[in-house]
Amino acid sequence: MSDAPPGRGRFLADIFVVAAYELQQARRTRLLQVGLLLYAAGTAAADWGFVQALREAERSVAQAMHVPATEKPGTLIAEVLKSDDLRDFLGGLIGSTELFDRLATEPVLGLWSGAVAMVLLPLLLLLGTSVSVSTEVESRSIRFLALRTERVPIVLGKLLGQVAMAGLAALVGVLVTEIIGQTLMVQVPILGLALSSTRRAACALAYALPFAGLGLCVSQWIGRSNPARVVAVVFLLAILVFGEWPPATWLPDWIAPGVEVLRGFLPGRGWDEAWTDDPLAFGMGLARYALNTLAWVGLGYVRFDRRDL
Amino acid sequence: MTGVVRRFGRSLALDGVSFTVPRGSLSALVGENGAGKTTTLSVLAGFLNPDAGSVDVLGLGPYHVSTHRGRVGILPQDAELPGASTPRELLYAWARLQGLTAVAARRSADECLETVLLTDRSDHRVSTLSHGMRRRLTVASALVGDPELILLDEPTAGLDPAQARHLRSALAERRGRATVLISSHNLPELESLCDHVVILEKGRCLLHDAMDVVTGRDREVEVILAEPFPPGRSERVHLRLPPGDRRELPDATSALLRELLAEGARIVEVRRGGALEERYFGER
Repeated sequence: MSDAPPGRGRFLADIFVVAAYELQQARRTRLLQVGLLLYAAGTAAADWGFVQALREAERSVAQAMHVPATEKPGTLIAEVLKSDDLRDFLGGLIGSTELFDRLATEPVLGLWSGAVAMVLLPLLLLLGTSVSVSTEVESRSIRFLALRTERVPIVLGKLLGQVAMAGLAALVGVLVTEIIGQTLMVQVPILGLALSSTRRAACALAYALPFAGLGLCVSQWIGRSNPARVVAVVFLLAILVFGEWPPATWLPDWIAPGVEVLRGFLPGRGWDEAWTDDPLAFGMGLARYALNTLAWVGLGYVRFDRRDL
Repeated sequence: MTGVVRRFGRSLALDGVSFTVPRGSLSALVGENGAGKTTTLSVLAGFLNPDAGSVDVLGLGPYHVSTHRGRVGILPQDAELPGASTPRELLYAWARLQGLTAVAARRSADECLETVLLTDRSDHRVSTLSHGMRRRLTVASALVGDPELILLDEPTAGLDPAQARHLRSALAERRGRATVLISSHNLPELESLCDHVVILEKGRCLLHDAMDVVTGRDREVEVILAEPFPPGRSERVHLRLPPGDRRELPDATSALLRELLAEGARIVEVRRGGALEERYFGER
Protein backbone atom coordinates (compact mmCIF):
# COMPACT_ATOMS: atom_id res chain seq x y z
CA MET A 1 0.00 0.00 0.00
CA SER A 2 1.04 3.58 -0.54
CA ASP A 3 2.07 5.96 2.19
CA ALA A 4 3.76 8.75 0.21
CA PRO A 5 2.50 12.32 0.11
CA PRO A 6 -0.13 12.91 -2.56
CA GLY A 7 -0.15 15.46 -5.38
CA ARG A 8 2.82 17.48 -6.50
CA GLY A 9 5.16 16.03 -3.88
CA ARG A 10 4.56 12.54 -5.18
CA PHE A 11 4.90 13.67 -8.78
CA LEU A 12 8.30 15.20 -8.06
CA ALA A 13 9.33 12.25 -5.90
CA ASP A 14 8.50 9.89 -8.78
CA ILE A 15 10.60 11.94 -11.18
CA PHE A 16 13.56 11.69 -8.84
CA VAL A 17 13.07 7.96 -8.26
CA VAL A 18 12.95 7.33 -12.03
CA ALA A 19 16.00 9.56 -12.55
CA ALA A 20 17.91 7.66 -9.87
CA TYR A 21 16.79 4.39 -11.47
CA GLU A 22 18.05 5.65 -14.84
CA LEU A 23 21.40 6.63 -13.38
CA GLN A 24 21.71 3.32 -11.56
CA GLN A 25 20.96 1.38 -14.75
CA ALA A 26 23.54 3.40 -16.67
CA ARG A 27 26.15 2.85 -13.97
CA ARG A 28 25.43 -0.87 -13.75
CA THR A 29 25.54 -1.39 -17.49
CA ARG A 30 28.81 0.61 -17.61
CA LEU A 31 27.13 2.97 -20.08
CA LEU A 32 27.79 5.86 -17.73
CA GLN A 33 31.46 5.00 -17.27
CA VAL A 34 32.01 4.49 -20.99
CA GLY A 35 30.19 7.73 -21.78
CA LEU A 36 32.30 9.66 -19.28
CA LEU A 37 35.48 8.09 -20.59
CA LEU A 38 34.63 8.95 -24.19
CA TYR A 39 33.65 12.45 -23.19
CA ALA A 40 36.92 12.90 -21.30
CA ALA A 41 38.87 11.57 -24.30
CA GLY A 42 37.00 13.88 -26.69
CA THR A 43 37.59 16.90 -24.49
CA ALA A 44 41.24 16.00 -23.96
CA ALA A 45 41.82 15.58 -27.70
CA ALA A 46 40.11 18.87 -28.54
CA ASP A 47 41.91 20.77 -25.75
CA TRP A 48 45.24 19.25 -26.68
CA GLY A 49 44.76 20.26 -30.34
CA PHE A 50 43.85 23.79 -29.26
CA VAL A 51 46.93 24.04 -27.04
CA GLN A 52 49.11 22.87 -29.92
CA ALA A 53 47.57 25.54 -32.15
CA LEU A 54 48.22 28.14 -29.44
CA ARG A 55 51.82 27.00 -29.17
CA GLU A 56 52.33 27.41 -32.90
CA ALA A 57 50.66 30.81 -32.80
CA GLU A 58 52.85 31.89 -29.87
CA ARG A 59 55.96 30.75 -31.68
CA SER A 60 55.01 32.85 -34.69
CA VAL A 61 54.32 35.86 -32.48
CA ALA A 62 57.61 35.33 -30.58
CA GLN A 63 59.48 35.12 -33.87
CA ALA A 64 57.86 38.33 -35.07
CA MET A 65 58.67 40.05 -31.76
CA HIS A 66 62.19 38.65 -31.75
CA VAL A 67 61.71 37.16 -28.30
CA PRO A 68 62.40 33.56 -27.33
CA ALA A 69 59.33 31.29 -27.39
CA THR A 70 58.59 29.23 -24.30
CA GLU A 71 58.21 25.45 -24.47
CA LYS A 72 54.62 25.65 -23.23
CA PRO A 73 52.15 28.25 -24.52
CA GLY A 74 50.63 30.84 -22.22
CA THR A 75 53.14 33.62 -21.82
CA LEU A 76 52.19 35.44 -25.00
CA ILE A 77 48.45 34.70 -25.07
CA ALA A 78 47.55 38.38 -24.95
CA GLU A 79 49.73 39.04 -28.00
CA VAL A 80 48.42 35.98 -29.81
CA LEU A 81 44.84 37.07 -29.27
CA LYS A 82 45.59 40.32 -31.03
CA SER A 83 46.09 38.27 -34.18
CA ASP A 84 43.12 38.79 -36.45
CA ASP A 85 43.08 35.14 -37.53
CA LEU A 86 42.69 33.71 -34.03
CA ARG A 87 40.39 36.53 -32.94
CA ASP A 88 38.16 35.96 -35.96
CA PHE A 89 38.19 32.21 -35.42
CA LEU A 90 37.28 32.41 -31.74
CA GLY A 91 34.89 35.31 -32.35
CA GLY A 92 33.14 33.27 -35.01
CA LEU A 93 32.96 30.38 -32.60
CA ILE A 94 31.11 32.34 -29.94
CA GLY A 95 29.03 34.63 -32.11
CA SER A 96 30.99 37.84 -32.66
CA THR A 97 34.49 39.26 -32.30
CA GLU A 98 33.10 42.10 -30.15
CA LEU A 99 31.66 39.57 -27.72
CA PHE A 100 34.96 37.70 -27.81
CA ASP A 101 36.79 40.89 -26.91
CA ARG A 102 34.50 41.32 -23.92
CA LEU A 103 34.93 37.70 -22.84
CA ALA A 104 38.69 37.76 -23.33
CA THR A 105 39.13 38.32 -19.60
CA GLU A 106 38.34 34.61 -19.25
CA PRO A 107 41.14 32.11 -19.93
CA VAL A 108 41.00 31.31 -23.62
CA LEU A 109 41.15 27.58 -22.90
CA GLY A 110 37.99 27.97 -20.81
CA LEU A 111 36.18 29.53 -23.76
CA TRP A 112 37.46 26.80 -26.05
CA SER A 113 36.32 24.06 -23.67
CA GLY A 114 32.87 25.67 -23.63
CA ALA A 115 32.68 25.44 -27.42
CA VAL A 116 33.79 21.82 -27.27
CA ALA A 117 31.13 21.08 -24.66
CA MET A 118 28.52 22.69 -26.90
CA VAL A 119 29.35 20.12 -29.56
CA LEU A 120 29.85 17.05 -27.37
CA LEU A 121 27.02 17.46 -24.84
CA PRO A 122 24.22 17.64 -27.45
CA LEU A 123 25.55 14.47 -29.07
CA LEU A 124 25.81 12.69 -25.74
CA LEU A 125 22.30 13.73 -24.72
CA LEU A 126 20.75 12.92 -28.07
CA LEU A 127 22.24 9.44 -28.18
CA GLY A 128 21.40 8.74 -24.54
CA THR A 129 17.81 9.93 -24.58
CA SER A 130 16.97 8.38 -27.94
CA VAL A 131 17.10 4.91 -26.40
CA SER A 132 16.03 5.68 -22.84
CA VAL A 133 12.32 4.98 -23.34
CA SER A 134 12.49 2.82 -26.47
CA THR A 135 14.76 0.23 -24.85
CA GLU A 136 12.32 -0.28 -22.01
CA VAL A 137 9.32 -0.38 -24.33
CA GLU A 138 11.11 -2.94 -26.50
CA SER A 139 11.91 -5.23 -23.56
CA ARG A 140 8.58 -4.37 -21.91
CA SER A 141 10.40 -3.66 -18.68
CA ILE A 142 8.59 -0.31 -18.87
CA ARG A 143 5.62 -2.22 -17.46
CA PHE A 144 7.30 -2.41 -14.08
CA LEU A 145 7.42 1.39 -14.01
CA ALA A 146 4.14 2.14 -15.74
CA LEU A 147 2.20 0.07 -13.21
CA ARG A 148 3.56 2.24 -10.43
CA THR A 149 3.75 5.76 -11.73
CA GLU A 150 2.20 7.98 -14.38
CA ARG A 151 3.89 8.14 -17.75
CA VAL A 152 4.78 11.83 -17.41
CA PRO A 153 7.12 11.26 -14.43
CA ILE A 154 8.64 8.32 -16.28
CA VAL A 155 9.58 10.56 -19.21
CA LEU A 156 10.65 13.51 -17.08
CA GLY A 157 12.59 11.23 -14.74
CA LYS A 158 14.45 9.76 -17.70
CA LEU A 159 15.13 13.26 -18.98
CA LEU A 160 16.46 14.29 -15.58
CA GLY A 161 18.60 11.15 -15.33
CA GLN A 162 20.12 11.76 -18.77
CA VAL A 163 20.73 15.43 -18.00
CA ALA A 164 22.39 14.42 -14.72
CA MET A 165 24.68 12.09 -16.66
CA ALA A 166 25.49 14.85 -19.13
CA GLY A 167 26.16 17.14 -16.16
CA LEU A 168 28.64 14.60 -14.82
CA ALA A 169 30.26 14.46 -18.23
CA ALA A 170 30.48 18.25 -18.30
CA LEU A 171 32.22 18.19 -14.91
CA VAL A 172 34.64 15.59 -16.20
CA GLY A 173 35.29 17.91 -19.15
CA VAL A 174 36.02 20.77 -16.75
CA LEU A 175 38.46 18.57 -14.87
CA VAL A 176 40.19 17.46 -18.06
CA THR A 177 40.46 21.06 -19.27
CA GLU A 178 41.97 22.08 -15.93
CA ILE A 179 44.52 19.28 -16.12
CA ILE A 180 45.44 20.16 -19.69
CA GLY A 181 45.62 23.86 -18.86
CA GLN A 182 47.89 23.30 -15.89
CA THR A 183 50.14 20.72 -17.50
CA LEU A 184 50.44 21.87 -21.12
CA MET A 185 50.25 25.63 -20.61
CA VAL A 186 51.85 28.20 -18.36
CA GLN A 187 50.43 31.20 -16.54
CA VAL A 188 46.92 29.76 -16.52
CA PRO A 189 45.10 30.74 -13.31
CA ILE A 190 43.78 27.58 -11.65
CA LEU A 191 40.64 29.13 -10.26
CA GLY A 192 40.09 31.36 -13.27
CA LEU A 193 40.17 28.45 -15.68
CA ALA A 194 37.99 26.32 -13.41
CA LEU A 195 35.37 29.05 -13.10
CA SER A 196 35.43 29.84 -16.80
CA SER A 197 35.16 26.25 -18.00
CA THR A 198 32.50 25.43 -15.37
CA ARG A 199 30.42 28.41 -16.42
CA ARG A 200 30.81 27.53 -20.07
CA ALA A 201 29.98 23.89 -19.41
CA ALA A 202 26.79 24.94 -17.59
CA CYS A 203 25.80 27.13 -20.55
CA ALA A 204 26.60 24.27 -22.93
CA LEU A 205 24.42 21.93 -20.88
CA ALA A 206 21.52 24.36 -21.11
CA TYR A 207 22.11 24.70 -24.84
CA ALA A 208 22.11 20.92 -25.20
CA LEU A 209 18.73 20.40 -23.48
CA PRO A 210 16.61 20.62 -26.65
CA PHE A 211 18.70 17.79 -28.09
CA ALA A 212 17.65 15.70 -25.09
CA GLY A 213 14.07 16.70 -25.88
CA LEU A 214 14.49 15.59 -29.49
CA GLY A 215 16.00 12.27 -28.39
CA LEU A 216 13.17 11.62 -25.97
CA CYS A 217 10.64 12.53 -28.64
CA VAL A 218 12.10 9.93 -30.99
CA SER A 219 12.40 7.41 -28.17
CA GLN A 220 8.73 7.76 -27.30
CA TRP A 221 7.56 7.41 -30.89
CA ILE A 222 9.78 4.50 -31.83
CA GLY A 223 9.46 1.57 -29.47
CA ARG A 224 12.69 -0.12 -30.52
CA SER A 225 16.09 1.04 -29.42
CA ASN A 226 18.30 0.64 -32.50
CA PRO A 227 15.88 2.23 -34.98
CA ALA A 228 15.30 5.02 -32.45
CA ARG A 229 19.02 5.76 -32.26
CA VAL A 230 19.33 5.79 -36.06
CA VAL A 231 16.30 8.05 -36.48
CA ALA A 232 17.67 10.45 -33.86
CA VAL A 233 20.96 10.75 -35.73
CA VAL A 234 19.12 11.21 -39.05
CA PHE A 235 17.06 13.96 -37.41
CA LEU A 236 20.25 15.58 -36.18
CA LEU A 237 21.74 15.58 -39.66
CA ALA A 238 18.49 16.90 -41.11
CA ILE A 239 18.50 19.71 -38.56
CA LEU A 240 22.08 20.60 -39.43
CA VAL A 241 21.10 20.85 -43.09
CA PHE A 242 17.60 22.27 -42.99
CA GLY A 243 18.14 24.38 -39.88
CA GLU A 244 19.81 26.99 -42.04
CA TRP A 245 18.88 26.00 -45.57
CA PRO A 246 17.15 27.31 -47.55
CA PRO A 247 17.83 30.79 -46.12
CA ALA A 248 14.79 32.85 -45.17
CA THR A 249 15.57 35.30 -47.98
CA TRP A 250 14.97 32.53 -50.49
CA LEU A 251 11.53 31.74 -49.16
CA PRO A 252 8.31 33.46 -50.24
CA ASP A 253 7.35 36.29 -47.91
CA TRP A 254 4.16 34.60 -46.78
CA ILE A 255 5.96 31.48 -45.60
CA ALA A 256 9.30 32.82 -44.37
CA PRO A 257 8.11 34.09 -40.92
CA GLY A 258 6.37 30.79 -40.14
CA VAL A 259 9.41 28.79 -41.19
CA GLU A 260 11.61 30.94 -38.97
CA VAL A 261 9.31 30.40 -35.99
CA LEU A 262 9.44 26.64 -36.57
CA ARG A 263 13.19 26.78 -36.98
CA GLY A 264 13.35 28.50 -33.62
CA PHE A 265 12.24 25.22 -32.06
CA LEU A 266 15.01 23.23 -33.67
CA PRO A 267 17.72 22.00 -31.32
CA GLY A 268 20.91 23.87 -31.99
CA ARG A 269 19.19 27.23 -32.21
CA GLY A 270 20.36 29.79 -29.67
CA TRP A 271 24.10 29.16 -29.93
CA ASP A 272 24.78 32.91 -29.46
CA GLU A 273 22.56 33.11 -26.39
CA ALA A 274 24.73 30.53 -24.64
CA TRP A 275 27.71 32.88 -24.96
CA THR A 276 26.16 36.24 -24.33
CA ASP A 277 27.28 38.35 -21.37
CA ASP A 278 23.90 40.10 -21.28
CA PRO A 279 21.88 38.53 -18.43
CA LEU A 280 18.55 39.34 -20.09
CA ALA A 281 19.56 37.75 -23.37
CA PHE A 282 20.92 34.76 -21.47
CA GLY A 283 17.65 34.44 -19.55
CA MET A 284 15.77 34.53 -22.85
CA GLY A 285 18.09 31.86 -24.14
CA LEU A 286 17.43 29.66 -21.12
CA ALA A 287 13.69 30.11 -21.60
CA ARG A 288 14.06 29.14 -25.26
CA TYR A 289 16.05 26.02 -24.39
CA ALA A 290 13.52 24.98 -21.75
CA LEU A 291 10.55 25.65 -24.02
CA ASN A 292 12.13 23.80 -26.93
CA THR A 293 12.98 20.85 -24.71
CA LEU A 294 9.46 20.59 -23.32
CA ALA A 295 7.95 21.03 -26.78
CA TRP A 296 9.93 18.08 -28.13
CA VAL A 297 9.25 15.93 -25.07
CA GLY A 298 5.56 16.81 -25.36
CA LEU A 299 5.50 15.92 -29.04
CA GLY A 300 6.85 12.49 -28.15
CA TYR A 301 4.45 12.14 -25.26
CA VAL A 302 1.48 12.43 -27.62
CA ARG A 303 2.48 8.95 -28.83
CA PHE A 304 3.79 7.51 -25.59
CA ASP A 305 0.63 8.37 -23.68
CA ARG A 306 -1.46 6.24 -26.05
CA ARG A 307 1.04 3.48 -26.51
CA ASP A 308 0.17 -0.06 -25.50
CA LEU A 309 2.78 -1.38 -23.16
CA MET B 1 -14.72 -6.53 -16.65
CA THR B 2 -17.80 -6.20 -18.81
CA GLY B 3 -18.00 -6.81 -22.55
CA VAL B 4 -14.32 -6.09 -23.07
CA VAL B 5 -13.16 -6.20 -26.68
CA ARG B 6 -9.54 -5.91 -27.69
CA ARG B 7 -8.13 -6.26 -31.17
CA PHE B 8 -4.54 -6.52 -32.37
CA GLY B 9 -4.76 -5.48 -36.00
CA ARG B 10 -7.29 -7.83 -37.53
CA SER B 11 -7.03 -10.38 -34.79
CA LEU B 12 -9.63 -10.32 -32.05
CA ALA B 13 -7.93 -11.14 -28.75
CA LEU B 14 -10.87 -10.44 -26.45
CA ASP B 15 -14.38 -10.74 -27.81
CA GLY B 16 -16.72 -9.26 -25.24
CA VAL B 17 -15.17 -10.80 -22.14
CA SER B 18 -17.18 -10.31 -18.96
CA PHE B 19 -16.40 -11.69 -15.53
CA THR B 20 -15.98 -10.69 -11.95
CA VAL B 21 -13.91 -12.25 -9.21
CA PRO B 22 -14.78 -11.99 -5.53
CA ARG B 23 -12.66 -9.66 -3.44
CA GLY B 24 -10.17 -11.53 -1.28
CA SER B 25 -10.39 -14.70 -3.35
CA LEU B 26 -7.73 -16.65 -5.19
CA SER B 27 -9.05 -16.98 -8.72
CA ALA B 28 -7.86 -19.04 -11.64
CA LEU B 29 -7.77 -17.74 -15.19
CA VAL B 30 -7.81 -20.76 -17.46
CA GLY B 31 -7.68 -21.18 -21.21
CA GLU B 32 -5.65 -22.59 -24.04
CA ASN B 33 -2.83 -20.62 -25.69
CA GLY B 34 -4.28 -17.57 -27.42
CA ALA B 35 -7.47 -17.68 -25.38
CA GLY B 36 -6.84 -14.13 -24.17
CA LYS B 37 -5.48 -14.70 -20.66
CA THR B 38 -2.41 -12.47 -20.97
CA THR B 39 -4.41 -9.79 -22.80
CA THR B 40 -6.99 -9.90 -20.02
CA LEU B 41 -4.33 -9.37 -17.36
CA SER B 42 -2.73 -6.58 -19.42
CA VAL B 43 -6.07 -4.82 -19.76
CA LEU B 44 -6.69 -5.16 -16.03
CA ALA B 45 -3.26 -3.65 -15.28
CA GLY B 46 -3.79 -0.77 -17.72
CA PHE B 47 -1.01 -1.82 -20.10
CA LEU B 48 -3.56 -2.24 -22.88
CA ASN B 49 -6.63 -0.13 -23.47
CA PRO B 50 -9.77 -2.03 -24.40
CA ASP B 51 -11.39 -1.18 -27.72
CA ALA B 52 -14.82 -1.57 -26.14
CA GLY B 53 -16.34 -2.58 -22.84
CA SER B 54 -15.56 -1.48 -19.33
CA VAL B 55 -13.14 -2.52 -16.65
CA ASP B 56 -13.55 -2.05 -12.94
CA VAL B 57 -10.53 -2.83 -10.81
CA LEU B 58 -11.16 -2.97 -7.06
CA GLY B 59 -14.32 -0.93 -7.50
CA LEU B 60 -12.32 2.12 -8.58
CA GLY B 61 -12.91 2.00 -12.32
CA PRO B 62 -10.35 1.07 -14.95
CA TYR B 63 -6.74 0.86 -13.81
CA HIS B 64 -5.15 4.25 -13.47
CA VAL B 65 -2.04 5.00 -11.49
CA SER B 66 -3.64 7.97 -9.76
CA THR B 67 -6.35 5.78 -8.23
CA HIS B 68 -4.70 2.36 -8.11
CA ARG B 69 -1.10 3.13 -7.25
CA GLY B 70 0.25 0.52 -4.87
CA ARG B 71 -3.03 -1.41 -4.91
CA VAL B 72 -2.24 -3.67 -7.85
CA GLY B 73 0.75 -5.91 -8.45
CA ILE B 74 1.35 -7.88 -11.62
CA LEU B 75 3.67 -10.56 -12.83
CA PRO B 76 3.76 -9.80 -16.56
CA GLN B 77 4.43 -12.83 -18.72
CA ASP B 78 6.96 -11.37 -21.13
CA ALA B 79 8.52 -8.31 -19.53
CA GLU B 80 12.29 -8.51 -19.22
CA LEU B 81 13.86 -7.56 -15.94
CA PRO B 82 16.63 -4.97 -16.14
CA GLY B 83 19.63 -7.28 -16.07
CA ALA B 84 22.17 -4.89 -14.64
CA SER B 85 20.41 -4.23 -11.34
CA THR B 86 20.19 -6.44 -8.29
CA PRO B 87 16.87 -7.87 -7.06
CA ARG B 88 16.99 -5.74 -3.93
CA GLU B 89 17.62 -2.52 -5.88
CA LEU B 90 14.77 -3.23 -8.29
CA LEU B 91 12.23 -4.12 -5.65
CA TYR B 92 13.25 -1.10 -3.59
CA ALA B 93 12.87 1.28 -6.56
CA TRP B 94 9.49 -0.19 -7.48
CA ALA B 95 8.27 -0.05 -3.91
CA ARG B 96 9.31 3.60 -3.73
CA LEU B 97 7.34 4.29 -6.90
CA GLN B 98 4.35 2.63 -5.30
CA GLY B 99 4.55 5.36 -2.71
CA LEU B 100 6.27 3.55 0.14
CA THR B 101 8.72 5.43 2.32
CA ALA B 102 12.38 4.46 2.06
CA VAL B 103 12.21 2.36 5.25
CA ALA B 104 8.96 0.64 4.27
CA ALA B 105 10.22 0.02 0.75
CA ARG B 106 13.39 -1.60 2.06
CA ARG B 107 11.42 -3.79 4.45
CA SER B 108 8.89 -4.80 1.81
CA ALA B 109 11.65 -5.62 -0.69
CA ASP B 110 13.38 -7.85 1.86
CA GLU B 111 10.13 -9.59 2.82
CA CYS B 112 9.28 -10.32 -0.80
CA LEU B 113 12.76 -11.66 -1.47
CA GLU B 114 12.29 -13.97 1.47
CA THR B 115 8.87 -15.06 0.19
CA VAL B 116 10.34 -16.11 -3.15
CA LEU B 117 13.46 -17.62 -1.56
CA LEU B 118 15.85 -15.15 -3.13
CA THR B 119 17.37 -13.56 -0.04
CA ASP B 120 20.74 -15.16 -0.66
CA ARG B 121 20.84 -13.73 -4.22
CA SER B 122 19.39 -10.33 -3.40
CA ASP B 123 22.63 -8.48 -4.14
CA HIS B 124 23.58 -10.40 -7.26
CA ARG B 125 22.93 -8.88 -10.64
CA VAL B 126 19.70 -10.04 -12.29
CA SER B 127 21.66 -11.08 -15.38
CA THR B 128 23.51 -13.68 -13.28
CA LEU B 129 20.29 -15.28 -12.01
CA SER B 130 18.85 -18.46 -13.49
CA HIS B 131 15.55 -18.45 -15.38
CA GLY B 132 13.70 -19.77 -12.34
CA MET B 133 15.25 -17.15 -10.08
CA ARG B 134 14.24 -14.37 -12.45
CA ARG B 135 10.75 -15.80 -12.50
CA ARG B 136 10.67 -15.68 -8.73
CA LEU B 137 11.91 -12.11 -8.80
CA THR B 138 9.06 -11.08 -11.09
CA VAL B 139 6.68 -12.80 -8.69
CA ALA B 140 8.26 -10.74 -5.90
CA SER B 141 7.70 -7.61 -7.98
CA ALA B 142 3.99 -8.42 -7.99
CA LEU B 143 3.93 -8.89 -4.22
CA VAL B 144 6.01 -5.89 -3.21
CA GLY B 145 4.10 -3.31 -1.22
CA ASP B 146 1.40 -5.84 -0.28
CA PRO B 147 -1.09 -4.90 -3.06
CA GLU B 148 -4.83 -5.57 -2.82
CA LEU B 149 -5.00 -7.15 -6.27
CA ILE B 150 -2.27 -9.46 -7.53
CA LEU B 151 -2.28 -10.53 -11.18
CA LEU B 152 0.01 -13.45 -11.93
CA ASP B 153 0.69 -14.78 -15.41
CA GLU B 154 2.11 -18.31 -15.15
CA PRO B 155 3.71 -17.74 -11.74
CA THR B 156 5.07 -21.25 -11.27
CA ALA B 157 6.26 -21.80 -14.85
CA GLY B 158 9.95 -22.70 -14.72
CA LEU B 159 10.00 -23.24 -10.95
CA ASP B 160 11.12 -26.51 -9.42
CA PRO B 161 8.49 -28.43 -7.40
CA ALA B 162 9.75 -27.21 -4.03
CA GLN B 163 9.76 -23.58 -5.11
CA ALA B 164 6.35 -23.93 -6.75
CA ARG B 165 4.97 -25.41 -3.55
CA HIS B 166 6.49 -22.63 -1.48
CA LEU B 167 4.98 -20.03 -3.78
CA ARG B 168 1.56 -21.68 -3.66
CA SER B 169 1.69 -21.57 0.09
CA ALA B 170 2.74 -17.89 0.05
CA LEU B 171 -0.20 -17.11 -2.23
CA ALA B 172 -2.61 -19.13 -0.12
CA GLU B 173 -1.57 -17.04 2.88
CA ARG B 174 -2.85 -13.98 1.08
CA ARG B 175 -6.37 -15.38 0.83
CA GLY B 176 -8.75 -12.85 2.36
CA ARG B 177 -6.07 -10.14 2.44
CA ALA B 178 -5.65 -9.76 -1.30
CA THR B 179 -7.49 -10.72 -4.45
CA VAL B 180 -5.23 -12.93 -6.52
CA LEU B 181 -5.91 -13.76 -10.17
CA ILE B 182 -3.64 -16.50 -11.50
CA SER B 183 -3.35 -17.40 -15.15
CA SER B 184 -1.90 -20.86 -15.65
CA HIS B 185 -2.11 -24.07 -17.61
CA ASN B 186 -1.48 -26.12 -14.50
CA LEU B 187 -5.07 -27.06 -13.72
CA PRO B 188 -4.45 -29.38 -10.74
CA GLU B 189 -2.39 -26.62 -9.14
CA LEU B 190 -5.14 -24.05 -9.72
CA GLU B 191 -7.78 -26.45 -8.46
CA SER B 192 -5.95 -26.99 -5.20
CA LEU B 193 -5.16 -23.31 -4.72
CA CYS B 194 -8.05 -21.26 -6.05
CA ASP B 195 -11.60 -20.77 -4.91
CA HIS B 196 -12.88 -19.17 -8.09
CA VAL B 197 -12.31 -19.93 -11.75
CA VAL B 198 -12.67 -18.06 -15.03
CA ILE B 199 -12.46 -20.09 -18.23
CA LEU B 200 -11.61 -18.28 -21.45
CA GLU B 201 -11.72 -19.65 -24.96
CA LYS B 202 -10.91 -17.81 -28.16
CA GLY B 203 -11.32 -14.45 -26.48
CA ARG B 204 -14.63 -15.27 -24.86
CA CYS B 205 -15.47 -16.10 -21.28
CA LEU B 206 -17.01 -19.57 -21.18
CA LEU B 207 -17.79 -19.46 -17.50
CA HIS B 208 -16.78 -17.85 -14.25
CA ASP B 209 -17.89 -19.27 -10.97
CA ALA B 210 -16.75 -20.60 -7.63
CA MET B 211 -14.30 -23.49 -7.91
CA ASP B 212 -16.64 -25.65 -5.79
CA VAL B 213 -19.48 -25.05 -8.23
CA VAL B 214 -17.35 -25.62 -11.33
CA THR B 215 -15.76 -28.80 -10.02
CA GLY B 216 -18.94 -29.89 -8.25
CA ARG B 217 -17.23 -30.01 -4.87
CA ASP B 218 -20.35 -28.57 -3.28
CA ARG B 219 -22.72 -31.21 -4.62
CA GLU B 220 -20.79 -34.20 -5.93
CA VAL B 221 -18.85 -37.07 -4.43
CA GLU B 222 -17.05 -39.89 -6.16
CA VAL B 223 -16.38 -43.07 -4.21
CA ILE B 224 -13.65 -45.34 -5.54
CA LEU B 225 -13.91 -48.99 -4.60
CA ALA B 226 -11.27 -51.68 -4.37
CA GLU B 227 -13.09 -53.75 -6.95
CA PRO B 228 -16.21 -53.35 -9.12
CA PHE B 229 -19.36 -53.45 -7.02
CA PRO B 230 -21.69 -55.12 -7.53
CA PRO B 231 -19.36 -57.47 -9.43
CA GLY B 232 -19.30 -56.62 -13.11
CA ARG B 233 -20.31 -52.99 -12.53
CA SER B 234 -18.08 -49.95 -12.11
CA GLU B 235 -15.59 -49.51 -9.34
CA ARG B 236 -16.62 -45.83 -9.11
CA VAL B 237 -19.83 -44.69 -7.48
CA HIS B 238 -21.01 -41.14 -8.11
CA LEU B 239 -23.22 -39.11 -5.85
CA ARG B 240 -24.60 -35.89 -7.31
CA LEU B 241 -27.10 -33.79 -5.41
CA PRO B 242 -29.59 -32.46 -7.93
CA PRO B 243 -30.67 -28.82 -7.75
CA GLY B 244 -33.37 -28.48 -5.15
CA ASP B 245 -32.12 -31.39 -3.05
CA ARG B 246 -32.06 -30.00 0.46
CA ARG B 247 -29.71 -32.58 1.90
CA GLU B 248 -26.22 -31.44 2.81
CA LEU B 249 -23.39 -33.12 0.96
CA PRO B 250 -21.71 -34.61 4.11
CA ASP B 251 -24.99 -36.17 5.18
CA ALA B 252 -25.68 -37.62 1.77
CA THR B 253 -22.10 -38.89 1.52
CA SER B 254 -22.26 -40.55 4.93
CA ALA B 255 -25.49 -42.23 3.99
CA LEU B 256 -24.01 -43.51 0.74
CA LEU B 257 -20.90 -44.83 2.48
CA ARG B 258 -22.94 -46.58 5.14
CA GLU B 259 -25.01 -48.21 2.44
CA LEU B 260 -21.95 -49.36 0.49
CA LEU B 261 -20.21 -50.71 3.59
CA ALA B 262 -23.34 -52.50 4.66
CA GLU B 263 -23.45 -54.22 1.29
CA GLY B 264 -19.84 -55.32 1.66
CA ALA B 265 -18.11 -52.91 -0.69
CA ARG B 266 -14.49 -52.08 0.06
CA ILE B 267 -13.80 -48.34 -0.18
CA VAL B 268 -10.40 -47.05 -1.30
CA GLU B 269 -11.00 -43.32 -1.72
CA VAL B 270 -13.67 -40.68 -1.48
CA ARG B 271 -13.32 -37.60 -3.72
CA ARG B 272 -15.31 -34.39 -3.58
CA GLY B 273 -16.39 -33.21 -7.00
CA GLY B 274 -14.61 -33.80 -10.24
CA ALA B 275 -11.22 -32.54 -11.37
CA LEU B 276 -11.06 -29.03 -12.82
CA GLU B 277 -9.34 -30.56 -15.80
CA GLU B 278 -12.33 -32.78 -16.56
CA ARG B 279 -14.73 -29.87 -16.17
CA TYR B 280 -12.54 -27.64 -18.30
CA PHE B 281 -12.56 -30.10 -21.17
CA GLY B 282 -16.22 -30.74 -20.57
CA GLU B 283 -17.03 -27.06 -20.99
CA ARG B 284 -15.11 -26.69 -24.25
